[in-house]
Amino acid sequence: MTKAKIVHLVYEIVLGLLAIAVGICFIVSCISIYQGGDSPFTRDSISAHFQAISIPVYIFLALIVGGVVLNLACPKEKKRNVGTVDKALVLENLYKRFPLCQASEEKQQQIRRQHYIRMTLSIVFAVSLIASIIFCLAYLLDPNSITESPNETVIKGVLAMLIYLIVPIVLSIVMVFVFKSSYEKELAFLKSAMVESKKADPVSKIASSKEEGRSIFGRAKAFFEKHRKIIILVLQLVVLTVALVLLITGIINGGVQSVLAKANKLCQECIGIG
Amino acid sequence: MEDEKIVSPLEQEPTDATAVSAENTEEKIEKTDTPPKKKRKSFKEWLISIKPSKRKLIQLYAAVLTNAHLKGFVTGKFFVGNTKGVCAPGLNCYSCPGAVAACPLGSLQAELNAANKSMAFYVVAIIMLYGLILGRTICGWLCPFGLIQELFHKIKTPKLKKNKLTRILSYLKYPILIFFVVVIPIAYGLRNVPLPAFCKYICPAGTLEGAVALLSNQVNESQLANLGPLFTWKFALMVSFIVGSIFIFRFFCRFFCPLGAIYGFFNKFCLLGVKVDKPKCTNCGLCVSKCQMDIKHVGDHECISCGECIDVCPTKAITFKGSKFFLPPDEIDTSGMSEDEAKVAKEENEIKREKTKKRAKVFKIIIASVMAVVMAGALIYYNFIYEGMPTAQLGTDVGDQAPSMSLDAIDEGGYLSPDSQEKDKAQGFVENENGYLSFDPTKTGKLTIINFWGVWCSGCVAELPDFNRIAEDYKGQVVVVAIHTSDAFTAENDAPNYIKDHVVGGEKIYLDSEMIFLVDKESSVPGVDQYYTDLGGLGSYPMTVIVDENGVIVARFDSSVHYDDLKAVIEASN
Repeated sequence: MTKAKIVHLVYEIVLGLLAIAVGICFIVSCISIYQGGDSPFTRDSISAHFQAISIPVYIFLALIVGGVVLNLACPKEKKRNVGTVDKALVLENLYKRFPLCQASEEKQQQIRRQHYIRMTLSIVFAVSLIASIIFCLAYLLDPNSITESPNETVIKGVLAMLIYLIVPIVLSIVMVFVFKSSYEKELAFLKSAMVESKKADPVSKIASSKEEGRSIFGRAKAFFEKHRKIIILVLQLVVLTVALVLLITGIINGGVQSVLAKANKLCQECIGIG
Repeated sequence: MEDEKIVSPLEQEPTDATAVSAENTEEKIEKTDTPPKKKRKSFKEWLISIKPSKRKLIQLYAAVLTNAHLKGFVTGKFFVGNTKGVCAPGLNCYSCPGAVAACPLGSLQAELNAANKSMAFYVVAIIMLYGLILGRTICGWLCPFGLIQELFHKIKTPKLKKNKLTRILSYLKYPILIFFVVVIPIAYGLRNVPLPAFCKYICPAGTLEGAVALLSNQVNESQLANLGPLFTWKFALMVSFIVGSIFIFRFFCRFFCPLGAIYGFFNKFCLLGVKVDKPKCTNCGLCVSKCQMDIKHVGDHECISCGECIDVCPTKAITFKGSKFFLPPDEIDTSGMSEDEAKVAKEENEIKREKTKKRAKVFKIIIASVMAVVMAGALIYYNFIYEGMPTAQLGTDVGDQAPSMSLDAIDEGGYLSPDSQEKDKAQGFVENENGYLSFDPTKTGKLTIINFWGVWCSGCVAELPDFNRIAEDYKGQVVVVAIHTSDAFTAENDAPNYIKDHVVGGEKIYLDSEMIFLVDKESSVPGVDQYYTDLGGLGSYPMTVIVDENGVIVARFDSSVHYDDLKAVIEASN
């Protein structure tokens, strides 16, 4: 590491820690004002509390200005932008040139095992997500979930949805790591299969891989790609028509006056003053 | 190996994009991807390097235009006027002192809150049109809160780069959209309880631009008394979002913003934004790795069309939609043509290039002129021509004589007829020119508590039961008057039905209440009420003014009040 890099790194870490510290100071100050008793938020109490944290704030601001000077005196080297290719895309293109049937039995089994692992995990994730969504909908549509106290409803609702969604969330995180490892293994198996096998005439191989029945999803994707422009144009026209109809209906129904009436009067609690 | 010579870039597992794209455009990779050589910059070079990009300038322009009422930051009063009937495209709280347009998300929640009485056609249409034309380009170019986050992100701290986990987290904004923006407002709207849940519990734009900006002005000092647990929670959340933005690019946008979630649905087919020319794309992945949003590919629902990927694409496959009218065509390939044909083709191409450059220049001049005129017009109108929020003609502090005004009286059946028994509640009822009863709150001859409220205002409806209790407990001694905003008979704010149907603790407490319900009159400014202004209202609700038997103001609250506050004033005046 060069000297400039070390200086920049130390500066960034110090500034980062100070940013977190200043944030915590602001939050703690606000909470301590609130705990001051009835109607605690007065100009004097706010000034007194925030004056107490003024020093770290000034240091933070000074460091930001200092960073500008540091950049001038000791410019930081920009990082090189490195592209990363989606492994699924790499595999898809490799299969076009080298269909699975050409690999040895052992390699085919190894590759299929990776497919099954991913497919199983995807199905489990999909099922858990659908189940969670159903539970969430059931909760939201239950009249007993909406109590007289909005605060209570919101807190209970957030907790309930977190509980219902925890399984798909955890599964999605697990999938990230499992899929990464699975793709890497499959890529390694396929490349070693390519090296092992004797390749036939490439043209006929590509033609046969195209003829090997595409899935419904693949056919739908191909149809969409072929007629992409028309489909998008139709979608734009439909959305535009619906929007214009709704706009005219809304204006006739007094929507503008309704928005105007609410925007010209400030509901304090609605913006968090409460 | 022989195989590796014929494989396409995708069949490699590149760790360095240079190798991937080298087959196609070696020179371009050299230009776009080579890190600059380290050398000490001169001050002039440094100034040039920190020059804001076009996108940053447009963001700043949009932020200033959306908040063109700059003098509001000085006077502490927010803008009231006709342009607030239009929604701004980005997240910008209407309570910001500078805001000249309504917030689309706040308006949507307010309309959904009244879903059982009227449909949110207008706001939904506006959002659909914005989405169709711009999609999430709004987030990248027009949203003031997006600009604020990007500016905070410039502070040099260690940054958390995007990864697969942040991609998962980016889906959090959809449950927030469904629960806080749709379900809660509709559910509570069905119970006649106003509750824009996202604005009230989460939105940092409202806290920063509205609450903090308003309350930091001395003019609004009386509203500080209203601050409590809700503000403490929102302030802590706002600080967390700001600190998060320092470390994570667009922390709020990526993970929490429901407006971004809505516009994301339109990204695939919106008219403006970035697009990828698939035949030119080599799938090198430079665009995805350069992008700081959680995209899987350019133009998906997370893409904010900032255009950072355009510069790094080695094959120039990424452009803005519609840019072909303004970008000069590439040099043509004349191999395979005869000398004469090549010469003609090159000349024709050169003419096309010149025409396109001219067209682009003219377009830029026209757009810049229009933008300058619009900004100048907006700044002049909102800061010099606009007279400001109407203010009281007479003094409205404690000790001043309260202005008198006869206002229409209502109950659960609508306007009061002259033979109604309501007039037995207090002195001050007179028959108006329409044949109904009016009431002057300053002519009761008793201590009178005048509360300004609205069915649409969550703080107002929360405190109204306390006024009802005071009216019951001090019957005969004190007159309690609840004056609804002038839109009491609209479909959304049906005050008579609210009086008839609203239940508190299992009881319809406003039926046969001792309170007197009135309706304010609209002033010459649309949406601003006359008596509320005459009594010194600053635009925010609720407000309470207490006058003695002579009509002199003995107390005023520019915020919510509780039973004990009112009791203390009554006891002190006895």
